[in-house]
Amino acid sequence: MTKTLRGLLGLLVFLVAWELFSWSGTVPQQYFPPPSTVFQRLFELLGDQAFLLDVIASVLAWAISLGIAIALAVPAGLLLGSVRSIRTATRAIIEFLRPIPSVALIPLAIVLVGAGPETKISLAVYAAVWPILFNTIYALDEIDPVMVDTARSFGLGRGRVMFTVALPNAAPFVLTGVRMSAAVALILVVSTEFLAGGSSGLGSFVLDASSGAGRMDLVLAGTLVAGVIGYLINEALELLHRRGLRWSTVDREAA
Amino acid sequence: MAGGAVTAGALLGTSGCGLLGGSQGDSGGNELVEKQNLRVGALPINDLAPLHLAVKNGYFEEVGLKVEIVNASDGSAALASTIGGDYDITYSSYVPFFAAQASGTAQLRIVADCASAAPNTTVIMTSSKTDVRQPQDLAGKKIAISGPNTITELLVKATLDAHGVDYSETELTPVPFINMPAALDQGRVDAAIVTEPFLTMAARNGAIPVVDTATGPLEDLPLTGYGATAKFCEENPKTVAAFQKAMDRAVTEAQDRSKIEPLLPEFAKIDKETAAIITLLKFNSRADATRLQRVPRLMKQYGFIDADINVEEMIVAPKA
Repeated sequence: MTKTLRGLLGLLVFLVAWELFSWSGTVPQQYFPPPSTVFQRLFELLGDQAFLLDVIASVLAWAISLGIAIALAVPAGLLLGSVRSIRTATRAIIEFLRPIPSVALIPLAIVLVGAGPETKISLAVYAAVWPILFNTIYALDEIDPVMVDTARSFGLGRGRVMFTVALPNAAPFVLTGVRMSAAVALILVVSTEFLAGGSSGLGSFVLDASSGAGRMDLVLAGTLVAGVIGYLINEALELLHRRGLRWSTVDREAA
Repeated sequence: MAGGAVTAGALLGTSGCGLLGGSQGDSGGNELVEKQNLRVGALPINDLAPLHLAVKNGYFEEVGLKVEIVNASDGSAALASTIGGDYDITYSSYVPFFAAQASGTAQLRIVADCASAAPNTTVIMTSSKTDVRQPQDLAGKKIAISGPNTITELLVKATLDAHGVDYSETELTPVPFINMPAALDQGRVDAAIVTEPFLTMAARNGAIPVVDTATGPLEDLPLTGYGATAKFCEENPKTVAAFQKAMDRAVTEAQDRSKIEPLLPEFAKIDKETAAIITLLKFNSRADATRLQRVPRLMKQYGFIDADINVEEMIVAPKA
């Protein structure tokens, strides 16, 4: 059996179990609609312009967040990974900030930056920075010292060593960090929309559907879309990893 | 790669601002109003139908306004965002408005009235499995309200009082509206104060009405309105007047149910079948001090606030 076929079979078993559970009457269908209803709603929603704008708003916020997180975390990781004194100096503050759940910062973020797209982007950036940062620092620790010494002995300066040896070596680790952060950023964008409301976004769509009229069919359809987006993002990054970084074995180690 | 991401982020940032759902950034005015882009806090519930009607029919544009409706997770969150200056005007039930004013949290003004209690819109319901049939049976029972210090708590207490039931003996438990029909069905509460569209849904599940709170002392009680900070109203008198004018027009039109019904599935996500049968609240636009004064009076009576509130001073009277 091929890999795709197995994946589809797993999905099918899951959907059948869900359908049967919904029809079993344990929970009224109004509160837990079967996939047949949810997929019908989903199909209708895909033709609904307002819903598509919500999806675009979330995906855009996600892309911007991840972009900013990469732009912040990679240089910071390179700096912290290569200069031991800075790393020691920042260790306490980083270890203090890292475990703070971003959703707990929503009220603070609303006061500081308002309830617009800035809120979800800043919270998603906050959460997405850590995996990339730590993977980058890690990557620099893992570099074979022989390679660095060899480069040095050829007369390469600190900067050249960074770009010709350290960065290519770190790339697979960084990309693994990006993959982890991509999921984290999507979760944060959608949950901020859900918890703080707003004028558009997948999370606010789910909030409206649940708090306005208790439409669980629409809630589940929206959730399903979020899941599919997350899946597609991960597949795309995995493809990038396989194609772009053929030499690396990190994905196998990290997976 | 990082550089590329920054560039991509910047590009998306500039071109995608409208798509992101943020405000257009232009906070200036035009020849008609001081501030043309208004962020109005709202909830995805049917009270807001006239506001959505005004946006959809372009009534705000005609008076020089661009209104962006921002849905908050609940009424007090919307009010907090308004006090914080993130929304310009917000919809809220009157209880948090007067509570904030009485506690001195903020100086608030009422810009427009929104809706008042109509028969069969705020009903205490029970499940057929309980022995609760009339208001007197509610003594000592567990009643679901939407949250502490909300209009629903006020309505339940005042209704019990009116029927000679000692409300201090009942247990009022917060349950989100969406979960009330299920809470009744599963017997987690003996009764619940249910609003539309959950009322129709609960009735469909076999729930039965015990007492309509919009009767007796609470008949036609103003429930919700639009407010802003005193500072915003003083700085933007023409903007507020324009908002009032557009809302006046929308509310007049909203008295015709056929104008409202098609909007409900869009913004409140109520399915068409339910939208056709739910009872709508009574929509108002002009805030009337005498009528509104009843709310803080009840709030003081039931211990929501300590201070007296002069509603007349809080209302921004329409120009014409």
